[in-house]
Amino acid sequence: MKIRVKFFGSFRQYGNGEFLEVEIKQPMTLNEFRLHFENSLKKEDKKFLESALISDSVFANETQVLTNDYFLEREMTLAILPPVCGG
Amino acid sequence: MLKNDDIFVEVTDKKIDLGKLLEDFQHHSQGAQILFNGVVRNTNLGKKVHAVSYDVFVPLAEETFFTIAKEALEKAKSPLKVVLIHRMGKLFLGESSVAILVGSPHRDDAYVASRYIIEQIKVRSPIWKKEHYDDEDSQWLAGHTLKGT
Repeated sequence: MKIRVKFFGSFRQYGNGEFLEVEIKQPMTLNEFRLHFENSLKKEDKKFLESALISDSVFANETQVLTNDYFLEREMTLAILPPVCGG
Repeated sequence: MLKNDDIFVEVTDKKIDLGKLLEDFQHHSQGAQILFNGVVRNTNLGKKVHAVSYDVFVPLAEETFFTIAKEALEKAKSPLKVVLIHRMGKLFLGESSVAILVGSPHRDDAYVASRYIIEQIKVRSPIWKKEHYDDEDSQWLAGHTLKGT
C-alpha cells in the first residue's frame, strides 16, 4: 500500500519538493515506517544525506502530530514536519 | 480559518491590514487592545536578508493556533478576545508575518496573553522560514523539534 508523505520546510529541497510516495508491503507503526521513508528518500534523491533531519522530524495529519505507535494500515497521506520556526 | 465568539485564527497569503484588524475586532468590553506585529527585518545572524519565505502546513497550523488561543483564554483572569493571523508565501522587508491582537477589560491580562501566544507559536506551529540573502544562497532556518509534543 502507498503512503504519500507531503514535504515541508527543508524537505522541499529533495525529490520533487512536494511529496514522496512510499510503498509498504504490510501494515506497520510510524516508528517502523520512518526507516522505510528514509530509504525511499535516499533512493529518490542521492543528495539526501541528513538522517538526523528525519529523526528530528515528526509525522502528522491535518489535525494532529502522530505518535510513533500510530499504526499505518491503509493508504493515506501524511506530512513530515521538520523542526519548526514560525512567528 | 477557525473561529468562535472569542477567537479568530487564520493563515493567509494576503497582506495583513493592521488598521482594519483593530477596527474589525474592537469590542466595547475591552479597555485594552495589545497588538503584536511580527515583521521581516533586514539582518539575521550577521547576514543581510531581503526576504523571507514562510512555508505552512495550513490545516494543522490553524488547529494549533486555535488551541494556543484557547489556552491563553483559560489562563487569563478576565475574558479575552484573540485574533491571530499568520502569513504564508514570500514576504519582503517590513511586511507583517504575524499579527496577534488580544483584547481584554484591563491591560495586564492582554500583555500576558499576547506574550504567551507568540512564544507558543514559535515552538508549536507547523511553520518554516526560508531566508533570502543579499550575498549568498537562501537557507531554511533551524528550528524547534515537535518530537515529544
